[in-house]
Amino acid sequence: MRQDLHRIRFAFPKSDRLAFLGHLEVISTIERSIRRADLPFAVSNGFARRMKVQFSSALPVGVSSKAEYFDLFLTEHLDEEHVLDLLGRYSPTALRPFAAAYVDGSLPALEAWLDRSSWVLDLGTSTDADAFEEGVRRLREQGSFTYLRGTKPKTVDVGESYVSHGFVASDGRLMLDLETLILPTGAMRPEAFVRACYGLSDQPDSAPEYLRCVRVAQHHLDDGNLVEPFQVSLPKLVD
Amino acid sequence: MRVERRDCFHLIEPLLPLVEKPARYLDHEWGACEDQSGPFHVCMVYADVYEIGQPNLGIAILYNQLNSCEGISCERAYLPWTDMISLMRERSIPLLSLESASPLASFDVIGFTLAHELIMTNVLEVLDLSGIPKRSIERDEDDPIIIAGGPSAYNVEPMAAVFDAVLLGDGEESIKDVARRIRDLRSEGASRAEILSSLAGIQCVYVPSLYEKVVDGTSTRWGYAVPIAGFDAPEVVYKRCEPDFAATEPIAQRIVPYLETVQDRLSIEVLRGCARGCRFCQAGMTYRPVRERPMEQIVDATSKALATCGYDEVSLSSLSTTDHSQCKEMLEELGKVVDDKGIRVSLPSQRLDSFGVDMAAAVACGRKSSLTFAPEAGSQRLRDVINKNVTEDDLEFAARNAFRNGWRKVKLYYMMGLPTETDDDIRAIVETATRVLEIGREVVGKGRKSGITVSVSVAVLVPKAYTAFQWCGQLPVEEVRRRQALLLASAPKDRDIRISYHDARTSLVEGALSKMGRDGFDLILEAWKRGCRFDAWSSEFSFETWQEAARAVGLDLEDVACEEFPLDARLPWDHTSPAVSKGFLQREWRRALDGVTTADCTMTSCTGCGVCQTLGVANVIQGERS
Repeated sequence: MRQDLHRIRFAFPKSDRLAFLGHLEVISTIERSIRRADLPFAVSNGFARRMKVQFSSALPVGVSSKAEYFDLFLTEHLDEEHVLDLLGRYSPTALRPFAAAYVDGSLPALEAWLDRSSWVLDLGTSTDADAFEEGVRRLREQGSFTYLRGTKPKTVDVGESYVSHGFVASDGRLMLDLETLILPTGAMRPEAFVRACYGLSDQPDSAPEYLRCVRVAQHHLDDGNLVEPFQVSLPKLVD
Repeated sequence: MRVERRDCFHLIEPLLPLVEKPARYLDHEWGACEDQSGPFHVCMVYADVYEIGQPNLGIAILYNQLNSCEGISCERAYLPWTDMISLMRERSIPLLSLESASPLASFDVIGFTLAHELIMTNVLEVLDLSGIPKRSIERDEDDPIIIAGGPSAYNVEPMAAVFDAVLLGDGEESIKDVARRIRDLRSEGASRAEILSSLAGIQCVYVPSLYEKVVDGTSTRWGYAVPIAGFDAPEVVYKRCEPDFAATEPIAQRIVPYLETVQDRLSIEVLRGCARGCRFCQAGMTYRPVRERPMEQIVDATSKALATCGYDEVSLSSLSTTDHSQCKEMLEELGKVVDDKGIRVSLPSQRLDSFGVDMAAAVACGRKSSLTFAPEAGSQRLRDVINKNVTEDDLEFAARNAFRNGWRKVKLYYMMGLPTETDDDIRAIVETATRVLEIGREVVGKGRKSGITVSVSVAVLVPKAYTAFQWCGQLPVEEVRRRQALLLASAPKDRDIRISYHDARTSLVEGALSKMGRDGFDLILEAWKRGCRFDAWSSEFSFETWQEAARAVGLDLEDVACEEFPLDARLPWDHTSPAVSKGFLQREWRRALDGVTTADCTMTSCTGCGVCQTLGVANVIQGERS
């Protein structure tokens, strides 16, 4: 990274209706918010001169998040709270950043660095936890599954992507906590995993038509330890 | 009784995970007008999917104008894609507006923009999905007033049964006049018929139900429209024209979409109208006179709008941007505004001369993917027929300049089926493309590494109302195919010349819809009933269904589209006029046959089209045109 640039990391939600934005739509919306906020962002050189910004891994369309992240490279060192306030004013509420801190410019790109995700999925009111558990066991035993992503079949290695799961009951609904790893070859879609589990369970028809899914946290896995995205610096939180 | 106005987003929210591109249905974009308190509510509709309709300049202008009126709110609606339509129909969910997610049938006024003829079945789909009767005559007192406008409103007769009122020309002021008139009359308890009758008194407003069709020895088989006795409606409705273009809003499109749209950039209308006089071009006739926006206003507005919208690209839109008399200075000033911010300036079209290439180079900033020219016809003879005032030399200079400036790919746009066209003219397309390729190789060098390619795209002429070719018949499908085959056969075996052409059958339907009179509605309705919609999408267009529909109503598409009209016939659209005189168009037709060109009145003297005299307006040119 150029020594004269300042790398600032933002955390933002993806909530409400905007959960239905695709990854590229989120990126263009945030880039336009940055331009509206008139932040002194760096621009890449070359054929297509683009804003220097890096995003964490893509969320599937329809999946919301408590905290997504992006790193923006600034040409001036501005106060973090001021930057956060400015950007917040020009961002849609459902994507409004809530934390910001400068990070070391030499850190790896966010997408590769944040390799552990925590999810909560709403399995609805008609799923039996034991039956689903059996589906998980069978899927793990099977080792992989294939699903259609658009029209293309995609095979996922469960052994490498799956980390752990658990259940919580909430207002009569069964909520699934799921931990996954993002591999260099790609990420396992939680919904695809859950549907594969249903498919192998004894209650394949109890899957909800629409699986509400939230990414609740992202971390970097460092030699078995979970590193917070802002652990490399001190974030400034909005009130 | 009017459908209740209420937020129904909860009805479509569960469908969002089940459809393609759910961002089409979200609203809440940056810049959307959140205050929709009315109490008078208008919804502007573009009858295609969001990413096609959202960038539409006309709707953006009307949206802003209406939302600036005290007591009037304006929302947007688009036609959902087929997957969402199916789900909505399954669940009996009506079409909703974007901003308040209210049923369309709950609005006071619904306005359609008619961007092209192939959108007509989509208009019926919108009305059907909204639960609004498709024919004006079937609507109840409380139903919304359905209005329309836009480029294809100059022959709106095939849809005359649908629209309660049609606005011709610039909509900045007329939309407010119409909305206020409807609001005031409704509050006074006026009947629907009284409201429509009153609307006909506003300049530029055509109320089809006040006219009847007459077929006689002076007309074509489609007849012509005259006011019904007893109604005070004008014999000819002339378009509205904003004489002071600088007083209009420079940047109409303030809503920043989430979804990538077909023109995903800031757009500033730098001028309106074009007087080059291409004889096939409807917009060139219907948007006259030429009105340039002052350079200072363009630069200032662009700078402010880029800051408030956050776009990384601005398009200088118009029918002929490089004709703006301050084009060079304007691009220099804009260059200073966008400097170092990674913002691109784009020109929608290039003049086919060296100046056009210079201007394209001024904004290219190293991105020189391809440069597009539109010679429209292959031979000089035929270019004179269509009044495309460019010469072989212009094209050669432009191509040489383009290759010298770093472009490696050149696209050439042509038309087929032009009046007097011969096989030699078709072969001349290939000869011109070959010459451009040779110039590229002379300038850059031969061999694959030079990367020189010339792409040729050939459309089919669809004769449109209020052009010099409005009397012409369209070329039959088989003849189009023969000429397309000739084009391919004439092409050299050189992989660096790539030839493509439009589907003759889609053009035929467009031609039929452009030519028909009031009775043509039966065909559109029948086609829609048989499943035609999204006809401008090649994936959805079904020529066979259109043919079946035509047979069912006793028509033949080719017979309709290919029919020539006598030069002295009263035409189906004579009563809805952009103020270009019929005498001028007849003269232009005769000059076309003689191969005589007509000059651009912004660079010479008046050519007698009649617009300025009829409307009391004039060309407004900021500097000197050359």
